[in-house]
Amino acid sequence: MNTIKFHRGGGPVSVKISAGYAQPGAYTLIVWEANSNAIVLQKKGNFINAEDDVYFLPTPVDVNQGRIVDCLVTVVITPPIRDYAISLELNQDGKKLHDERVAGQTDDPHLSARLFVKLEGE
Amino acid sequence: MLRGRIKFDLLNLAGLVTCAMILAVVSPAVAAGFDLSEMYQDSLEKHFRFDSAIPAAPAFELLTAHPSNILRPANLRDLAIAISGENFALEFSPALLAEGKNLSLGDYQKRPWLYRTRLSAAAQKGEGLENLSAFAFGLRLTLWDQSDLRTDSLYVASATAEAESINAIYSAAIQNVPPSAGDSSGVINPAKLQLADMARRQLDELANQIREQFAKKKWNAAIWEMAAALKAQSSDTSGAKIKIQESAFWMSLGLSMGSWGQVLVGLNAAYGRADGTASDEFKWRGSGGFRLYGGAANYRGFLEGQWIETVDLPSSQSLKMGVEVRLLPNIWIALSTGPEYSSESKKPRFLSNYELSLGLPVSKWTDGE
Repeated sequence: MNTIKFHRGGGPVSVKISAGYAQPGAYTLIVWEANSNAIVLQKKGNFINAEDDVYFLPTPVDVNQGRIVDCLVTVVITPPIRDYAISLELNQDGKKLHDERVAGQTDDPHLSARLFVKLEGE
Repeated sequence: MLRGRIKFDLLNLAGLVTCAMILAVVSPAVAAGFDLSEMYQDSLEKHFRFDSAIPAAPAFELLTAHPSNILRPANLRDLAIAISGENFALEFSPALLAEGKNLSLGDYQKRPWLYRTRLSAAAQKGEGLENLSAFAFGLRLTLWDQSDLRTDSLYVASATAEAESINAIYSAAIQNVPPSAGDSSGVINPAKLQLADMARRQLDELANQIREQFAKKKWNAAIWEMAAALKAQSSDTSGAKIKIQESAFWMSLGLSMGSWGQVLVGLNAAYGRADGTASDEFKWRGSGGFRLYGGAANYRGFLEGQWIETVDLPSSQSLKMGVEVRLLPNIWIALSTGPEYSSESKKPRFLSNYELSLGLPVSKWTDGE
């Protein structure tokens, strides 16, 4: 699992979920409490509109120390394009912290991926 | 007279030679590269060729004698490259290649024509005494395509609902436990999950539901495509002494008639050297055709007419009727028969044609696998 550093004194951390190659799909975003099975935040969405696929983690930003951002994404592979690119991007203060990404090509009718990162303040 | 052609698909013909033939048919530049007039007929009749004989939206098998006369509807592709010996062919969608990995559904829907636009290029090293190398470049525009699932709001809503259902199945299997420190992000392999039999069946059904629904709906979808290509030849490999050989333009329009039929119209015009590479005389060639379909996604009858005219050469017209039937999920058979008239012979002759085509991975969904 990748550990992503964020600035404890900075602004809120945002999470953006996207699917490339214009593949339709849906996702479930979960933020797990540090060292716990407790869910801090849970959101469901889809790729019909890209504008509403950005979420802000709880503030003050420091509370996210050790938390895991976890996203289950399914895209329906729509012909003729067989490529997929699923991204979980974290930003803070307009700066990209990390882009957790799965990409490839498949003949399957749908593809699901689980993208997750651990947050660590500095 | 019985004429037959057998077509094979990408899965069944191995290697780059197949890919070269694929591109020879699907891209205008390559068509020009392998000759836009007689050579097209010669090469394709002599070799197996790729052809989405019953294409997704739908078949455009208008011209048996001159398959290049009508631009066939085809799907966009990201990038296809074929290298065979000293020949080279390339077809790609520049916008999709540049922006694909970050292309959202919404951005695609704003300018679908841009992502469907394809460029193609081909080079063919010459043989024989003249030893002329040929080059060709082409552009293909799909201005209107109702078979494009990405611009179909009903499809998008269905696909989204399907994805939500799949997520629910996987969420239950994951049992709402956070990933552990040693785990890595990645594609979920259902075989590695403890899915109940019912959940597995549900996953398969979800995949098939949407395929069947839209295969039935899209078989006769409307489409409008145009293409242009330019062919040149050079007497040496440095590209010097380039001579323009031929230019060509294609247009095809398909309109649906309810849920049961479709009318397809195609036009082609070419302007090229009259008599091979040596001639400085250029001639026009034109052709047109139509096909009326009636039927459904897996079977259909058709009536087809075509006309071919070349300046100072005999013209020909034909009228055919036939059927296309899906025998197996990926196997189609097409039978047609009818009279052909040539101004040279001044006698009509009766032609029959059969074609067996195997389905293609690229169109398996919209063909209704």
